[in-house]
Amino acid sequence: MIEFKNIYKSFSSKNILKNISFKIKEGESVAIIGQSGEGKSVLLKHFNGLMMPDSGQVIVHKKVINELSFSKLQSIRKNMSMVFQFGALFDSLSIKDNILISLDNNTSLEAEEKENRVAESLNEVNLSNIDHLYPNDLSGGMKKRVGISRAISIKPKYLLYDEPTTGLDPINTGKIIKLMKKIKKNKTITSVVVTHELKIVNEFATRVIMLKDSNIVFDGTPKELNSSKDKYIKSFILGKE
Amino acid sequence: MYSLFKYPIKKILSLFEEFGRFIMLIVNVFRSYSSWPLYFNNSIDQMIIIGTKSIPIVILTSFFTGMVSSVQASYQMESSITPKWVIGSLVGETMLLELAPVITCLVLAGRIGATIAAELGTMRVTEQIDALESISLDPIAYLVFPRVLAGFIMFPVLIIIADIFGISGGVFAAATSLDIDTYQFMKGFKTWFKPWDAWYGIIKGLSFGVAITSISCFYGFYTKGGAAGVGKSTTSSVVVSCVAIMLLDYILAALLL
Repeated sequence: MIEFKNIYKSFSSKNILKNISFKIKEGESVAIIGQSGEGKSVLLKHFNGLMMPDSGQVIVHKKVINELSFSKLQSIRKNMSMVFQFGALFDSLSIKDNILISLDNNTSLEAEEKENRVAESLNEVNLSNIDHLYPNDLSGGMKKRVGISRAISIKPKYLLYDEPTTGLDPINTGKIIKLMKKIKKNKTITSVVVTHELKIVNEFATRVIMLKDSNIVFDGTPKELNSSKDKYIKSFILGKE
Repeated sequence: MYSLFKYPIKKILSLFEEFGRFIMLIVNVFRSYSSWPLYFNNSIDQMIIIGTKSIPIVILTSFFTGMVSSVQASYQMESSITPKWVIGSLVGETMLLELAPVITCLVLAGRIGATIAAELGTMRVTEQIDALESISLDPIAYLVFPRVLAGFIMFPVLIIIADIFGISGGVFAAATSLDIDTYQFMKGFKTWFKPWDAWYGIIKGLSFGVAITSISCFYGFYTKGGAAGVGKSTTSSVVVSCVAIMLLDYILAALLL
């Protein structure tokens, strides 16, 4: 289980997160939504300690990760993968090495097993036979799928997605959502996705958390979100002021 | 009155803050010592980028510097009572003590410093450094340590190359335009030569190498913003590296000569 307890975060004098508290149970698929600049990605980066709160606690598996040493934090990260907004693939490494570097650091597999795992995870995102290419050879959509492939290769317990469909055309958006659903169906993974895409909220998430003015203004199911009478939520869903 | 001093005070405070963060980065490089053996291969790659690939520009710069210093020394010593071999002494000493290490490192601050800052800065703004951290890698041990180690090892080597080609440039200019043959030039060079002078230049190279690579890593690693942020980091890394070279040059001269 992951628990956020009274999280505060600010940059310079601007409050980004104010007294944020919630719990995420094993196997849940949570979508974090809100307008641009509301601190969704900042919140996501608190899950794996890429950002630390100014005050409050982030608890993963009963461990307060913002109080852990770097080496203990690394052991928590071995069960947690993140898919970045634009893939964040390492330019100097081939696709195969991009996945291998994660396997080398997070698993104790033998060399042959690692090779198989690379092929298996690329196959899962329908990108077989591209392992010799470099990130610059791929399109935006392919980079995101390789990013997902790298994330699932270590078979994590928690999968964090940071705006996985941003900047993609509707066809590639559909592919990514289909892939996310497939991963969720095949594996017992707890997923957290930061998104603007209501299709992800409705088709993928089992729970929605909405941020506004540094606070949580909605926490419920997608169905409850869609039937909400709240003026702000309605305007967010309809895309009108 | 307060508003008059507000900007300079703010600027000075931010300089101290920046210096503190730089020191913390260096401390964290040493803290990550347990991961160093894992990244020696990365260090070798960096030695090729920083060292081997810089050899042509080092040869070119030092050869011309040697030629210019030979011509200028001859111009300043134009007198019937000064023997011609003194040119060799002057060129040799200035190359070993000052010109080879300083000119080479100023050029490398541009070449290596900008490359490192731009590379790490781009990795920061495209979240590649976050990605490294998220896959349980220590980004400081993986990115900063190999570059600083490569600078520590390769800069002295580049200084030796600069010494050799600088003096060769001096010999060439003396022979072709000053009517001083190689024998006379080398006689002058040997007369004033002390082995410590060569060691002093190498120590300078080593210090400048660590300064350039660590400063560039610092600016690259903590880049903020998008493409503009990368540009700002690159500029800052080159400017601060050049200032650091000059400052270290004085400190080393005061301490070691």
